[in-house]
Amino acid sequence: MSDLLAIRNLVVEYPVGGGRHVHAVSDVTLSVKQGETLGLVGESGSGKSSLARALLQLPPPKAGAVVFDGKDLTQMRGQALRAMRPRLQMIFQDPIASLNPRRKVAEIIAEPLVVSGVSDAAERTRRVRAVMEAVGLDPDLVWNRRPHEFSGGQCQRIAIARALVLEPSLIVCDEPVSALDVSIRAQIVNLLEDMKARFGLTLLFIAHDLAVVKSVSDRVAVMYLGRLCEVADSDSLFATPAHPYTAALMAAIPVPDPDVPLGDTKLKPGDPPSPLDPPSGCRFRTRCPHAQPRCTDEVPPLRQIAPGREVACHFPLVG
Amino acid sequence: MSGSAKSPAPLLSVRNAQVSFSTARGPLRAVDGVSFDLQEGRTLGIVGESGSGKSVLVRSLIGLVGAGSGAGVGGEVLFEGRDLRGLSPREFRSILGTEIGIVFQDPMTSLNPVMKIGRQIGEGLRLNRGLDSKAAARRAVELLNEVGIPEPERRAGQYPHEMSGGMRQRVAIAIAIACAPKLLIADEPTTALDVTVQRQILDLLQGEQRQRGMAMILITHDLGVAAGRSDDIMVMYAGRAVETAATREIFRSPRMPYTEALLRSLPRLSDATHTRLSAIPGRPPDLARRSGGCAFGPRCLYRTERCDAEQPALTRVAGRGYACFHPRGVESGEAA
Repeated sequence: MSDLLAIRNLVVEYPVGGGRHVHAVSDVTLSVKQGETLGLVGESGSGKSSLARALLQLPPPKAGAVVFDGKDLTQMRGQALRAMRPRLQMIFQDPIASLNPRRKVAEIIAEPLVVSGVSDAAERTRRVRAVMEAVGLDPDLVWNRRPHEFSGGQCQRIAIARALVLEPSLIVCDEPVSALDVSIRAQIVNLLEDMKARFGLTLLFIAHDLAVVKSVSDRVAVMYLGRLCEVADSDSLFATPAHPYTAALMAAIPVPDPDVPLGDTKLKPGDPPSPLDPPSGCRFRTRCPHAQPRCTDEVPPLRQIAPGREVACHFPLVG
Repeated sequence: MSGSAKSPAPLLSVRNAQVSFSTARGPLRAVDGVSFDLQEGRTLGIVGESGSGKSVLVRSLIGLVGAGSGAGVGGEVLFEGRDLRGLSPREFRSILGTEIGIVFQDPMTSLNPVMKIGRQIGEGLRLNRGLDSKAAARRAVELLNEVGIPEPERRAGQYPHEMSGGMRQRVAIAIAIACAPKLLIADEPTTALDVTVQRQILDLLQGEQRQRGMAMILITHDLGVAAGRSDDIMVMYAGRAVETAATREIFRSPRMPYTEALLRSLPRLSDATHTRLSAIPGRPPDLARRSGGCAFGPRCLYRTERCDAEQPALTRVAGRGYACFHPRGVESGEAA
């Protein structure tokens, strides 16, 4: 499979006054293959949402390249960038906040068509109806209703319809189920899987719930404090994590089975450091059980330890 | 009845708890006849989705939801034999923080932003335990140390905004346990936290609970959190307790079809990637427009005419309870 999206040496920083910066994403290189789902996991402050927004140029990153289907989006401006936008769409965590409360459902889903210049109203109506049916909304029942009349799960269906209506190649899903009720999550996960198959989508799936990520992702990338720790196919990553942070994340997952003993994260006590002032060398070293002096001095580069497996650690647990 | 193996009187006994709110669309029964007992030193996990009534139930027990908030509250709540339902706000204040400690989901909103950490922890000790300022300040530093905050002397002089979310939740726990309560209520204590921090906070809560012999009510929507930390579980749906049992029994052999469906719908790390999830159709009911039947009926695989006509009561059989006419894994004849 070829790469649909290649992110190279991406840097995202936000000024916070006093000449200081949040180092949200630091030198991240990552690719998403055509037709795959790449899971992106990490805790708050890991930079996963900043990365997602930067690749959509919302706003453009401070440095680095975002090559989508052979074209570097960071070098595009104005009309050229707008012409690319229909091919990259996003679904957000809070489905209710991401929909305009004053607009009718049909208008919300039709808006991307209007913006991208589909001027034929009959054509818009046809496409909106088709996409509503695809996501399991009855056009005749929902057409003139407004978002507040719907539950969180139904609002997420509307948001998915809005993302699909332009027939994009890539959808960035930023925590698409974490705001939903437990009994609704599986419906939306299944819907995303169905839509991916039906429309030949490529997905970047960002979530902190590792079981959901494992369920949908072909490959998984793990971030910590703005840097990539590890990239691997889903099964290898969950079977044999190579980065000590990945291992800690897995051990910390609360498993819905009282007979599974609580895992040992082996983390040193203490909280994650601030992305305002990340540690030198390996950013995980202040919590890492295997940290050595070298980890303070040298940033571990992301390197291949097996085909399709990359890890940024001086002392990986595998390989 | 002397001689029988009767369990000791429970620390907390709740009978037929009711909470209703009047809304523009009519009365809304947020909690509809919930009963349970909690023994000293045990942890009860209350599991449910948003709107299931789990938080409102527990808040109503301790007077945080009541007449003052426009809610109608009913039922009986006995804490160490005293009926809490009849207490005045002043009497509630003397119990909260001393005999019952509370930890909320978001420590940023439960802590006072303009009071130093040490003073907040010491406040209850000064007001309720008669400690002078110096002794309270000393004890606050000890408590910060106990909940795992490094450099407790320095941290005691800081404000909540100077700490991370995990640290703030540790402070909230220090405040909750300062006066050595017999019951700790933790309402989604780790929902706002990252998974590795969540783990540390749950370990801390469980450690304190065991060491001090406190009883705990752990309210959570996360079945994984409940599985690892509760002795018993009560599952709530649409304002009612629909299943109660020892934690292992809930997960091994759920009786209530809702519990069974919820457990089946969860993605499992042991499943291969792209395994289709068993989604539950439909969504939780609108509490202001409730029908006479089982609230889960419209989403249930085993629904019959009786389920639409009659609301199943919580029936207790062999130490566990379920509110279902078609319970899973039992011989016929034991249905509610």
